[in-house]
Amino acid sequence: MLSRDRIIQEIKKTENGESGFIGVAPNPLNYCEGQIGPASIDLRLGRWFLLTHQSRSSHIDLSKEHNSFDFESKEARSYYIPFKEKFVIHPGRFVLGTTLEWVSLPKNIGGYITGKSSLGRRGLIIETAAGIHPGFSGCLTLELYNCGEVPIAIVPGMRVCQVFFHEISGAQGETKTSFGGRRKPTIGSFMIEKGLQKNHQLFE
Amino acid sequence: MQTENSAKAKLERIAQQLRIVKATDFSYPDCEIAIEQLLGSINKTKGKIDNLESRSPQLREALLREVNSVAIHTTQILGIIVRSSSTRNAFEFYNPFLTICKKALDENCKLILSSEWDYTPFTFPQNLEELPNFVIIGLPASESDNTLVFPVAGHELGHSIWSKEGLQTKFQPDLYRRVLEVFVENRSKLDELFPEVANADLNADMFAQHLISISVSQALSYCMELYCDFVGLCIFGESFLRAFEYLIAPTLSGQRSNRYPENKNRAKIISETANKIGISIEGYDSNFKSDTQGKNKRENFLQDMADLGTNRTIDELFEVAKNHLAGRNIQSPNDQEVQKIKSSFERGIPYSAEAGLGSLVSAAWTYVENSKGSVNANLGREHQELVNDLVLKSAEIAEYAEYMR
Repeated sequence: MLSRDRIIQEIKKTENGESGFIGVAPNPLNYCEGQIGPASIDLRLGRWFLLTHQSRSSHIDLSKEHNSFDFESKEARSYYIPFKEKFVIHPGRFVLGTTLEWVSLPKNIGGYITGKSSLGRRGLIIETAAGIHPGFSGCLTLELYNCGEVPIAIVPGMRVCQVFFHEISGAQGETKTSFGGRRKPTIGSFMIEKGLQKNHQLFE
Repeated sequence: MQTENSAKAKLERIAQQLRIVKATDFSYPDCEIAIEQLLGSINKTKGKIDNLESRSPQLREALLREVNSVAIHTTQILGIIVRSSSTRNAFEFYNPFLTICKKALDENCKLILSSEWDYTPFTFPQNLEELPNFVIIGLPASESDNTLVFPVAGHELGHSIWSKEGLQTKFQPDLYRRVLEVFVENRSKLDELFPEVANADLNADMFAQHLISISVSQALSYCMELYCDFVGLCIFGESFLRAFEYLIAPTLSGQRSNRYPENKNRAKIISETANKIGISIEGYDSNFKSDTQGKNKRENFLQDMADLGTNRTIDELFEVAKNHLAGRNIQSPNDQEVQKIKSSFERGIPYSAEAGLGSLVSAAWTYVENSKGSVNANLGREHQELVNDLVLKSAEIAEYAEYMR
């Protein structure tokens, strides 16, 4: 796991135009060094949200493949919240959000994103698919869920999650990522393994 | 009485729609302020048609016509406001462009950036009676989140500056003199096409004066459009040329218009002017097609005279645009900054220092022009989509810096 000093060192190198290091924009070093903890970095809430809404579909069928664009067009709606305004997540609602920061990782570093205990204890779950692959570059999609009993208001710019970085040991493989290069939250495409496709057709 | 009741009902139904839209969420406060002012305008009109029966028939008719005119106009503006809140828009550009508008016009300026179901970008300059402080700009819906095309909004802002600075009045006398000059220089052609004015004194003959005034009026329109192009060029630099080419080339209508300069010549003028400030795109105007003139030789002659008069005003138009923006601290894109931004984009990360819109979009165009293949292999995204997100995130980072100060 990378230490605070190492994280700062990496961010400074990227800021100086060097490639192959961790990049975080907006750069926390310009605003609040306290954003970087002993072995993690706090990330802030971005301004774009994506919600599934009531539609003609009876359910989300995970026995079939979904194209991200089609799914978002049919089943979801985007929201944009300016700085200084609130976004309220009601009990039981699931919302995709995004980090304000664009995070880019070199080939030799991966990471894990986790919630913050101060928010979790108030009923706000931040992330369930926590792995960030080496080579990822983009804003991180957050899976926000209010598991409490009262509505929770959140505001863009607030610290909402934290990322721990890990160095990859062993040979570094290909760094293709599928959710990177985006500033908005995305549902992403849903693919089914080739071997399973044939069996799933039995459900038709 | 029926017409009066209908007028009241129509206004009430529009007011109701305004209240419904006002209750929704907006991405910036200016939309809500605009609706508030439109409601005020509706209420004022409602007040005018109280006790209509006591008015003279002529006044009644005039007031009822005013109701229809207010209804048409308000509905149109309300539609623009509704479309401005669509999430297809590039909201991250709103704040930096508002800053530019405030500098270019005045601190109280309000802005509505919308996406329209019309492919031609348009503007209501800052002179609407109901919304006197508002600049309203609409970009085509399919392009409204395409940052590469955004520089055309600079052209649209030019219309507000033209109107606010009274530039029509400023340019009119010189333009009249220049158009008169070209009439004199083309006297034989004039006499051939308009035998009515053969050998007439152009300064005194009423019909000759009428012909000159037609060309002057056209030349004023051409000058306004070119002035707006120069505003776009000064704010957005090379990216204005690229965006203009993307939207217009080879031509939109193909027909010569009395409102716009000839298509290919316009591209040539923009390109030559850009050359003077160190921006050069090889063969730029060759991507544009000439407009076809109509068959009426007399009308064509008047257009030609307007073109010639306009051509003699180009340098002055550019100087006025450049000085206005420089005097208000609106910087043109800076080459060094553009290179730094481009280098960030090439590494797949947004620019983390505060950058001007012009530099951001110019860097994005350079990135797209230099990209090999259509897709960024690491991130699996098309370069154009990726750079769009990088530009918008960079603009947001600059806004965030301002927000945190």
